[in-house]
Formats: sequence, structure tokens, C-alpha cells
Amino acid sequence: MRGERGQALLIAALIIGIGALAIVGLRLAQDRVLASAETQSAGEAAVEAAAAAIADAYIAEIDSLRVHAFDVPRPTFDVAGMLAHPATLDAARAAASEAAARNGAVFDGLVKARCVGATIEIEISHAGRQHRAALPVDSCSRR
Amino acid sequence: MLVVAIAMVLVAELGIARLALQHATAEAARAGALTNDDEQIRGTLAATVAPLAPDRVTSAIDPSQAEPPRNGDPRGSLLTVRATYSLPVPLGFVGLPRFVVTASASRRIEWTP
Repeated sequence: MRGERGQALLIAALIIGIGALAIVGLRLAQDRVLASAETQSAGEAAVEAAAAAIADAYIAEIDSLRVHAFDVPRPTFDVAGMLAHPATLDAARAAASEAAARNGAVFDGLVKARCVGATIEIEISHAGRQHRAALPVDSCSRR
Repeated sequence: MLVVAIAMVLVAELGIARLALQHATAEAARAGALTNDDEQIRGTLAATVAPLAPDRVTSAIDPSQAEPPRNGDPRGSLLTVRATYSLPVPLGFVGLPRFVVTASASRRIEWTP
């Protein structure tokens, strides 16, 4: 009788132990999934912020061209030059860092921007993942 | 053993709630960045918080639509959406504490007046 009770207790303890292990494993897996989702979200926020900052620079450049529209020679819009300008990239990087920080992440990478066809492509690398955003523009060539 | 089974279900539900709330706040903040409209933010949060019950989710938007810079030209500023969900607990009626899950997400506002 005592032996049977002892066996039952052992089995109960084993089942509870397996259950506790499953709970811990589940919790650890959840933490990893959530951390991954948060990293993804922070990266998306960062690239969107960088794209918005570049869009602002693009609009400012267009506004500046409008002011000098009647100058001789007529000013041209060098989109590639604007994208390569340190001030543009610094503004984009600062915007990306700020957005990432507010989402609990640290972004200290580079912002890459290039003009392809009629689209400005913005790319950042955050926590080993690539995040891209695109801005439609009139044209990449000088106008 | 019943307690262990209940705990496993609770932990699973907790994980789903954390993930769903994180996704919903990110979507809501994105909607806010594009529209600068608190109603749109709350509507997006309610629509994307599934499988959680939207009526159990409380939200806070920082800054609110009535505050600067959002009541002027907010483009370039940051908007944060916070959400809280209280997870229903089995045997909660006997006084067991509720689990509260929180999440937040921020986006740079792209909307222009």
C-alpha cells in the first residue's frame, strides 16, 4: 500500500515537474518571439522616420528651386547630390535613431539612400535585419 | 496538476496578449503618423488587437490631438501609443489578481496640415 502511494507521488511530482518545465520553456520562447517583434517594429519605425526626413529634405530642395525658378541659368535639381549630402544623411540618421530609441531600441547604423528610376530607396540595417522604404519622386536625373 | 494545466494555459494566453498588443500599438502608431487623428488611432488599435477583446483594451496617446505639436504642424515629431490589456484569469472571482499586459509603440508623424 505504502509502495503504491509512493509511486503515485513520484508520478505526480514528475508530471508537475514536466508541467513547470513546459511553462518555463513557453515563457522563454514567448520572450524571444516578442523581442523579435519589438526589434522588427523598431526597425520599421526607424526606416520610416529616415524616409520622412529625406522626404522633408527633398521638399525643401524643391521649394528652394521654386524660389530661384527665374534665375539665369535656371537651377537644376540634383537628387543624387541631395541624397549624398551629409546634412541629408545626418538628418535621416538622427530621425531613425530618435524613432528607434522611442521604441526601446538603439539604432547606430547608417542610412543608405539612392535614387532608382523615379523612386528614392532608403535602407537601414538594424539588429541584423534590412529595412527598406521607398519615396516616389518625379525623376532621379537633373532637371 | 490542475493548477499546472491552468498555469500553462495562462502563460500561453499571456504570450498571445503581449504579441497582439505589441502588433496593435505599432499599427495604431503608424495610423497616427499618417492621419494625426486620435479616432483613427483608436479604431486601428481596436481592429488590429485581435484575438484580444477590444473592450478590454485601454489606450493612451501621447501627445493627444489637442496638445502641441499635434494641434498645429506636427510633421517630424513623435507620436506614442500605449495600450493595456487585463487578462481574464480563471477563478478570478475568488480574488486571484488579474494579469495586466502593456505595450507601446512610437512613430514619426508624417502628416501635414
